[in-house]
Amino acid sequence: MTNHEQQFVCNPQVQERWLEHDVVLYHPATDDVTLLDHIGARIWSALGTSTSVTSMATTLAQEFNTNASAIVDDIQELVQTLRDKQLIESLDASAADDDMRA
Amino acid sequence: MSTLHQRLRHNFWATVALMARIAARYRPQRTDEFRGRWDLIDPALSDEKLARVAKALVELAMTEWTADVVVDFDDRATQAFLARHRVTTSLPLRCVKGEEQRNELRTRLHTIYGVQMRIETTARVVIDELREIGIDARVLKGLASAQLDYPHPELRQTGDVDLAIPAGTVEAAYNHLKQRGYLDYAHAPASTHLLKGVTLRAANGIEVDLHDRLFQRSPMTSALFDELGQQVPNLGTQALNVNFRLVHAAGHFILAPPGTRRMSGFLDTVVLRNNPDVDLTLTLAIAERLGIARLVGSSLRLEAALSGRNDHDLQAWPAADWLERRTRLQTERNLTLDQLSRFREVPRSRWLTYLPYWIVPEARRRKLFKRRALEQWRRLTGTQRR
Repeated sequence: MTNHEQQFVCNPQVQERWLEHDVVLYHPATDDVTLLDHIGARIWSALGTSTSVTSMATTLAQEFNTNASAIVDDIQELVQTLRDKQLIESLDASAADDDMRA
Repeated sequence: MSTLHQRLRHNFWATVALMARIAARYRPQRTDEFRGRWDLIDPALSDEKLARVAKALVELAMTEWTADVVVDFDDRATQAFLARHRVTTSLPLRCVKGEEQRNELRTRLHTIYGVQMRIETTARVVIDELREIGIDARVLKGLASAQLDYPHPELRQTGDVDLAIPAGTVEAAYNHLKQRGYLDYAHAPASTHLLKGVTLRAANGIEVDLHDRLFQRSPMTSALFDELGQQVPNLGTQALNVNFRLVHAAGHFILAPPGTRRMSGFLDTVVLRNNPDVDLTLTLAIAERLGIARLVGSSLRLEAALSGRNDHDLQAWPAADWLERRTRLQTERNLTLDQLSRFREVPRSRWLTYLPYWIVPEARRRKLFKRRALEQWRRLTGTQRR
């Protein structure tokens, strides 16, 4: 399993508030507020059910009429940021940790 | 002799004229006399542009935010007005002209939404912590209204956590929360035995207000908890029922000095008056029981006048007496009369303990007195501050 195949899902503790296509996230444990623009918010929305970076890249590439390989790194970067802020969690935490370190 | 007689006669008629003027000023209120009195919400609303913003917000509130209104969000005065009254979130993006103005509002809303979620989380934590020592809290004002009275919770901005707790539990709640790391908001209360309410600050900086009564002058009873409440879905506890909420919103809206968050309480009153579950007869009974019927009556009349509502159903409500009219409704509040009226807010059983504070007000109030006295002196002598 590569990095891009790991399954992630929103941390259920995180609160969200939508403003049109943007979303503001608040993590009570870290007291951190994060703003996602409409593309970030679309990714956040996809993370409502467990999904991988590859799967998100494929879906978004179809939606935005682009190539999945062109956006996969950007999605991976956002996923990493969300993970660092504990806003999402890996379904297999230990394996994910190993892969992220790789 | 004839000169003295003339002078006396003149003085008599002068006195009669003065009494007539005073009587006219303090005659029973009618909704009519509040018509167009946006200055009672904020003196700054004498500015036509700001008044249009306020009217647009009321129109939105009257139509459950479906009205097609357009507001200029391009000048600092409008932005400051909305921020000062904590009603920025009541203005939907679609009602703002142009992409640039929408982006400006969007940025502000992002920040406010972050704070709102922090406040909601703090409320949940405090409610749970009070439950640990057997204190059942009810959510007041913004947090309750946002969930129960507005079509979308995002439309109601909240500044702090306001909770009602049963009479006699303030001291225990205060001590427990202090142990849990909450700080006194400004200074420690002089005596925890005299507490009617307390303000603390959570570790994340959010203000937490605990009250054991809705208004200072209200008797300290379990009335708030005897009535059936209404569940607040996201906070795991109850709020006051809808009639209590209207009394609270209307009373606090008129108690707040003009220019300081009156618009927020005013919009609460508008949406609650539109709620078909509100029973004005029950609301009046609650207000009378809490000793604030005149105050709430004035507030409801002002709301009716400014929102264009029919006021026939307010006939039974008493008008505010002259002291309240001078201290609560005026845009320029008279601090001396305000100090006098504060005494009336203290339950009779506590008059003696309040006497020292009444004679020697707290430092902040003394400072206000001094500043106002200086302003009056400058006005009288015609000297301006350099």
